[in-house]
Amino acid sequence: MRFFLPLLLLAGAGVTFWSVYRPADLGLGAATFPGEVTLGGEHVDALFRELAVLMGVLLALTALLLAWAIVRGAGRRDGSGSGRTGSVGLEVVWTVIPAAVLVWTLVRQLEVREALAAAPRAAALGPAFQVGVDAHQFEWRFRYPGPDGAVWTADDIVTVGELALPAGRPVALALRTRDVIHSFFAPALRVKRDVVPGRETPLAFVIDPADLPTTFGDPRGPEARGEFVLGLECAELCGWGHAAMVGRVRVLGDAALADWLAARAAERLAVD
Amino acid sequence: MTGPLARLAQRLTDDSRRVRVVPTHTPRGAFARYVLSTDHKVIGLQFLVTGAFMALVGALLALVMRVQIAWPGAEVPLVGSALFPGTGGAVPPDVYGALFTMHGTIMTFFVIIPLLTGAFGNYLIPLMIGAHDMAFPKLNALSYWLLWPGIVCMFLAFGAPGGGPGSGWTAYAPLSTIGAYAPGSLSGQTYWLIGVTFAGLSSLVGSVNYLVTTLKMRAPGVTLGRLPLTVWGLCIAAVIQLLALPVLTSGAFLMALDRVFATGFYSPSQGQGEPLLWQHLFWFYSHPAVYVMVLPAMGMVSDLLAVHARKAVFGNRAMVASMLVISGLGFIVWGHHMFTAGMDPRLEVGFLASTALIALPSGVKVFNWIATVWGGRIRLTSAMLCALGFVALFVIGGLSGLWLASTPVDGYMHDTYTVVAHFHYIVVGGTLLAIFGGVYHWFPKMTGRRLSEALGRVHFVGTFVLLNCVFLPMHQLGFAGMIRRTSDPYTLPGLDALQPLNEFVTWSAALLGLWQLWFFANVAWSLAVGAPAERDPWRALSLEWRTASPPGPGNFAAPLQVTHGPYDYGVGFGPAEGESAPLPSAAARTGGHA
Repeated sequence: MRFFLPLLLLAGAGVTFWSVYRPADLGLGAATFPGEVTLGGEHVDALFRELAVLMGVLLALTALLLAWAIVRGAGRRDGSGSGRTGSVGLEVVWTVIPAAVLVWTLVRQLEVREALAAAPRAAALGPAFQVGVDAHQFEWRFRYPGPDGAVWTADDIVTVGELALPAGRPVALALRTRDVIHSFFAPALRVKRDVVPGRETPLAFVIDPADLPTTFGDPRGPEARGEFVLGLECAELCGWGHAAMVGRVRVLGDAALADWLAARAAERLAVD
Repeated sequence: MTGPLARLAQRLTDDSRRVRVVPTHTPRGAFARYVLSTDHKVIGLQFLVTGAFMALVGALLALVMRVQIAWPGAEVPLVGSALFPGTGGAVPPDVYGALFTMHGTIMTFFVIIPLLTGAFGNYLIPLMIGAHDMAFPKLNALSYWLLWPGIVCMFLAFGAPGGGPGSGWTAYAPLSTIGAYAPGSLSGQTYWLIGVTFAGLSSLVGSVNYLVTTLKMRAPGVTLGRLPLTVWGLCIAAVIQLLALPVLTSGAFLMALDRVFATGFYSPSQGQGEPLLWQHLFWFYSHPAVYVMVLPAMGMVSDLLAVHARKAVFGNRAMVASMLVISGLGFIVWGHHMFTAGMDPRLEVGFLASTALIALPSGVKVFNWIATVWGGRIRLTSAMLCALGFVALFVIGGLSGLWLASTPVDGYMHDTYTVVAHFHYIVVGGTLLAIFGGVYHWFPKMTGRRLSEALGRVHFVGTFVLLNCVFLPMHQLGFAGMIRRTSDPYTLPGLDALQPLNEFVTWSAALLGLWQLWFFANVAWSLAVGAPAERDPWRALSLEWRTASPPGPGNFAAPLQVTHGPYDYGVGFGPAEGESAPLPSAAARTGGHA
């Protein structure tokens, strides 16, 4: 046990590292993040990786120290474990150094928060593409402005389960629900926002054409017919159908988006 | 210091104003001695057995969930066709909601808190301070018996017409307040509220006892500086309970009003209610509640490491200070559960900062634990294995908290399985291992029998490996975007790829559950035919080891005189101090403590 326990701890730490840095190697279909597609999403991924490195260092340090202490200590045969019962110096060291590291993490977080908030505001990208998100038990409904140009009015184009968005333009979602709390979560967008009844919650982002596959092509222009589909989930327990509340985010080139909207409007008129 | 604050501190800790309570005689009859007893040791064991039973229930709920997650729509083995005939033996989605709601509720309120504060708190506090019993023995019995209406309410909730509560142990409004949104949880949710309130009352009553007893009934010489860290952890947890529970109870009362009288506290459809108000009130209690769970465990682990490495806890004052800082900071971090809820960004930054800060005292504790065993004479007993395992798994669980504390990353990971991995590492890898360690360590004192070390090792190694098999992959499941509380993770295209990993987790969880039989077999065998335990089998120095195993009524045959602390190993004092003869060459090696 004197050597087995340290080996167990080190093996556990090793598997933990591997599972974070190389999840695919673990087999079993071990998966990792879907690729991010937003302007600023790469900052989230970078922060995740930096924190993971920090965690790796701390885990390695504690695992090695523990393992070494066990191997040495379990081998002793005599006496009480003697030695110091405290050290102000050590307490200072292992308070101040982690505090400095924490301050660094705080600074990084604030940087990333600012970068994420700034991305959709970039003026050069043009006016925001407005969509209303109407969350229901248990489906996502999306409301595009109808002829009156405003969302949440009677002439909106309503779709169920599929949200079509442009690339390279700011998207401004307005999240509402009339029943329980839901949460809009598209992993590839690296954003999640709760949809709370009784209020409208804004969510803004920009889908970055540079993050889309090259087959998508130019998002602007009359020939822009690129298409890329992301998954959408509800990430706040909303009742017994919570698992079924999934949807699609369809990123479309401008021409394709215009066609899609026209098709949805035509369907609506046909129903009416 | 002077002034009213100083006078209050003086009154709280003044050894000379001791409560004089005459021990009552042993009651006659098995019912009075073992069921309605007011003896803290019996009550502690009652909590232990009840907590173990509820742990079994909670674990079974989790296993049924795991079957559904790995094989959605498949028939649950053994009990499926009997319980769920309408769906061919598979778990219906609304029942699935009740499963995870009750799993979380039972584990938090009826297993971990009662086992740590109720079982170990009740059993150990009077013994460790040299008292004959708690300050209020009858109130103590009440704290145990208040748990039972709570348990009955939990079972009623499950069996309520229309189905069990389905809004998670977090019970977010308005899913939890408007019956129409959760048609399977009409009276079930109300029973749940009442049950949680009873559990809270039990904790409140117990907390009063732990604090008053520790402040007023310490034997002469047991200064606050000589309190074992187990007692510190339990008392700080008691303070947290006293301050935080009333907020939950009040919030729950408002929720009951919303449910029964259609008031509009949390429900926008009923008088412009605010759902986020429930979240704030709930998490204001429930975040400190996790420190109620972890602080006694940390205290116990400190004691276990010290005894089985035969070495003083390194940095005793820093350990106490860090527990105090954790408990204080713990009251101002609750918003980190609500980073995606749409709070004011300025509030987010505040909670982000306080949550990051709380990593500091936790880190200090980890380094002090390592320093405690460093240079010690380590005996790898089952109790020590559990304590070391706690340190390892607490580090992993705590580190993943760094991701969750960073709002940009939390914006991805909130409500995914990464969160589930994080808190299960701490609660199962941490507090549950600490509970096992505590049982291995104090079983001889409680029962007068020795547990088998061989069975203990088998139990520990398997549990440690399997815990990691169950909870480590959950980090990846969360990275891939698998959300929590889902009865079918594969509805989103692309997540089918996660099924093999989920199957691995489920098989590991089943094996982990079965593996606990080693522990129960060990206990049963030991109670039946185990070797008798001496007074102090671990050669420990805390006061509970000065009396017989198990202690008789009144605990100590003669009043104690205490002149050293519980960690003064290697200081070199004689048998008159109550310790069996010190091990050879101790005094020569150290020449006094550093």
